[in-house]
Formats: sequence, structure tokens, C-alpha cells
Amino acid sequence: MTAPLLDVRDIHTSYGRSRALFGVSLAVPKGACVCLLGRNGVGKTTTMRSIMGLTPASSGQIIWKGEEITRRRPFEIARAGIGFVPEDRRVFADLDVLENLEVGGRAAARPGPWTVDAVFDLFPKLRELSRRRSGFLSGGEQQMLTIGRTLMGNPELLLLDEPSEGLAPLVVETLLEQVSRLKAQGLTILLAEQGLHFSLALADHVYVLQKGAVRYSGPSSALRDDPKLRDDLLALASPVD
Amino acid sequence: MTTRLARTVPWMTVAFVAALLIPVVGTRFYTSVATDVLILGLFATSLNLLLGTTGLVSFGHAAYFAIGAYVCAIAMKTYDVPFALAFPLAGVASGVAALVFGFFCVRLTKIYFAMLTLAFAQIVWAICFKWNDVTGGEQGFNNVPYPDLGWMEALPGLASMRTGELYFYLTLVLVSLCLYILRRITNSPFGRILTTIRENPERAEFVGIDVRRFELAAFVIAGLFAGLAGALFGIFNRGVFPDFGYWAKSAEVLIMVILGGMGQFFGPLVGAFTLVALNQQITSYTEYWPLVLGLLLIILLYAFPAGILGTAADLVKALRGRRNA
Repeated sequence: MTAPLLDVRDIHTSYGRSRALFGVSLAVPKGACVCLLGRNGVGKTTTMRSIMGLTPASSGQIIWKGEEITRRRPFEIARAGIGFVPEDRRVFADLDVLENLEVGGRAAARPGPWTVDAVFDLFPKLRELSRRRSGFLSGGEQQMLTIGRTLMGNPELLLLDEPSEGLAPLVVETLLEQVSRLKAQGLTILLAEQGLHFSLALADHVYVLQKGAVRYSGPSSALRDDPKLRDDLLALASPVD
Repeated sequence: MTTRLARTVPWMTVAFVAALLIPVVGTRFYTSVATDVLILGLFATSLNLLLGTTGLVSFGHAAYFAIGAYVCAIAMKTYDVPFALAFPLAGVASGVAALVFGFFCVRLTKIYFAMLTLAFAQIVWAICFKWNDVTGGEQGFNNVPYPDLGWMEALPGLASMRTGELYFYLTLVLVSLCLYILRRITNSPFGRILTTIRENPERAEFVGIDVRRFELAAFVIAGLFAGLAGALFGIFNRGVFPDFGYWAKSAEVLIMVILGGMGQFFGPLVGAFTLVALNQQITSYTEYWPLVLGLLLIILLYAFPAGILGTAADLVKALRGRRNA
């Protein structure tokens, strides 16, 4: 078995004195879409923030392409090829759409295929809005812009924290289709979700988190095909449509 | 009509030409006030690169103003260095000081950053105050010579001008040049990265921006231009004093920025003008200028937090919106 692109080994993370992660381990193979599943407050966002170096893990290791990045600064991790799309999907509100994208490309300073035009091809809506102050965009548009800005840095791994949170159902469908295209292009994705809809549609492998630890790990097909397992793990009576 | 006017008239050129006329039309007093406003305007604009653009609150910006003033004055008087060399030297010295102090400051955030800038400024002030042999200590460094401005008399229209008036023209050209460069920096891709840091340093960081390095770069540029302003001011003032680096001076320049509006590039210049003009007017009526200033600030912060120019810009925008609707 080849080494995974991202290997998280037994990380413990706390915010001040309140501990959030109790030994989370997970692996993201190249080209795969891995999903962190769990309800609010189980540590999905903290796991992502730890990977990104924003809330560094106090113990454990994070290995990226064979190199330890556990205590690197966030900008170094971004430049190493991990792109983070946070839950609050905040854009740089005072900059317009185009400027946001340019900053994303310039900041990460990584060579690769992504250009402003390529982003506009993926999110045609943004092209029409390219000179709009991004603070005036709708939630869905901001989500697209945040993803686009991150792509401009040519990441090898995309961390998507609850991308569907707070968006209208129709917008979620569009977004799902767009992220599927990214996956089909070979981009590796680590996704955090509360619901099953987005995650089962995209993910190859699922980690279910509970109280800051991994409760279950397995292929997403197992979760899809076994309603009892699903109910057991998530206590959600959510059908897979 | 007004909207078209606002767009097509090159306001900066108009302002520049109007400023050229001040010594011709006005008295020596107005020329002197205008020189004061220009120099302090540059000082305030340099601070705004930190405050308005990068979102860093410095309580010690006067340190770089003072360093520039002393370096230029000492170079010119003690070492007979011509102004053309002493002026850039002052900027470099302030820039280097900002690099050293800033290296430590950008490792802290928010109020801790502000406190450390203040601490370094107090150190600079103490050195200026005590180092009698070089700075003149408490008595200040007096009788700073004017640069040789004889060549300017050969320029059309300047033949019969006094030194103070020639110095105004020199200041006008140098300050305009500095403001032009600062504006280019603010509107450049580099400036946009500073804006992302102001909006959210954490977000800027995970997008891939080395936040500390960019903050340090902004700190150095701001310090450099503050030093250039200080160099001009020392000559204008005919003397350099430890007060130039005192915390009250840092507070004064902060007030100028906030008064004029930190969201606008020319806000600090308007703030400098307003503060100098008010000071002139009010001190002729009452000795309680600080009291008036305090009241003014309270009103401003509550009623017009965007500052004078910011409020004006909002008004214009609102009027245009109504017209277009």
C-alpha cells in the first residue's frame, strides 16, 4: 500500500484548557475524497484547523507527503499544497471578486493549472460578478468564491469544512455538482459534514467523529447500504435520497 | 453633472496647482501653515499605511519621525552633508530603526503590538533626551540650516521668493512625490495583501500569506516615510527636539488619521489640515485647546467614525445613489 497523501496520527488538540481532540487518526490517499462525519461540536473543524496549523496539535503527528508539518505555520502549510475552505466561508469583503482570486493565487505562490478563467469556468456565476465587492455576494456566491480563491493556490488537497452549511437546497445541488467535478479532475478532498447528503454523494471513505475521537472508519458504501449502522452512528433518521 | 465633474476633473492636479499659488496669493503666515500641514500630512499618511491599510495600531509612530528629523538635522549641521543626501539618509535611518523594532512588534498582536511600539518610541525619546553630545539633549538640536535653495531662484516665478517660500515649494514637491509613491503602494497587489491582513490576519495566513513578513514590510515603509516627514519638519522648525518622539506626538498623529478618516487615502492629509487649522484658530481664543480637542474627538468618534473625508465620501455616494435611482 502506498503512503497516503495526508496522514494524521493520534493528534490531541485543545483550546486553552478545554480539550477538543482526543487522539484523532486518519489517512487521506491521493485522489480520494474522505469525509469527516459527525454532529456539531465533535471536532471536525478542530481537526481541520489542526491540519492547517491554525490550532496546532499539542501531541501527535501530521504527515504531509512524507514530511511532518505538525508545528509549521499556516502560511507554510498552505504553500505546501493544502487549501482550506473554512466553515464561515468568509471572503475578503473589501476586495472585489477578481482581487480575491488574485490574492489567493499570489499568496500561495504555487505553480499549477488554476487561473482566474479556469475558476470562472467552474463557477460561471462569479464571472458576471467579477468586479463586485465580495462582501455584497450571497452566501452561495461567497462559498464559490472561497473555493475559487483556494483553488487559485493550486492545492493538492482541499479541506472543505461544511460547504453546504446554511445554503439553500438548490445552491447545495449546484455546489455538489461543482465539487464532484473537482474530484473527477483528480483533486484530493477532505470534507467535513453533518449531513449525509453531501458526504455520501462524494466520499470514498468516511470517518465518523464523536466527542473528539474517531468512532467509526470505513468505506462510505458501508454506511450507504446499512441504515442500521447509519442510525447507530449518527442517530439521524436521515434517508439517503 | 456633478458626478461627471467628480470623475473627469483631476482633483489631485487641481490641488497641487492651488498649493503652488499659496505663497503668491497668501501671506508668509499662510505659507508657513501650509508647509506645516504638508509635512504633518505626510507623517499621518505614513501612519495610515499601518492603521487604515494593514489594521495595525501603532502608538509609537513619532519615534520614526524623530529619528528622521535628528538624522537629517545632524547630518546637515554637524557633518555638512548636503540636503540631497541627508534627506534620503533620514528615510533610510528611520526605515532601519523600524525594521529592528518592527521585527519584535509584529510578533505580538493587537494591544500588545501597540504597547510594544509605544515602548520602543519611549526608548527613542529617552535617547534623544539624554544624549547631549549628539542630539543636544533636552535643549534640542537648534539652528538647523536650510538646504541650499539658491538654484530654485533660477526657476520661473521664484526669483524674488524668500527662503521660507522656496522651502515650501521644495516641501510641496517632495511631499507630493512621497504621497504619490505611498498611493501606488496602497493600490498595488502588495497593498491588497495588506488589506487582507487588516480584514482577517488568520484568513490571510491560511491563504498562504506570511502575515508577519508583510506586516514588517508595511512597518518599515511607514517608518521610512515618517522619517522623511521628520527630516522636512526639523528644517522647517529650525530645530529638532526630543518632543518629536514623545508619546504625545504619536497620539497627535493618530488623532489626525482618525479625524480625517483612515478609510480614505487622503483622509490623514485632511486630518492634518483640520488639526493645524483648528489649533491656530482656537488657541487665539482660548488657552484650553486640549479641552476643545477632546470634545471634538468625542463628537467625531460618536457621530462621524469614518472621519471627515470618510463621511464626505459616504455623503457623495448617497447623493449619487439617489440621483441614479
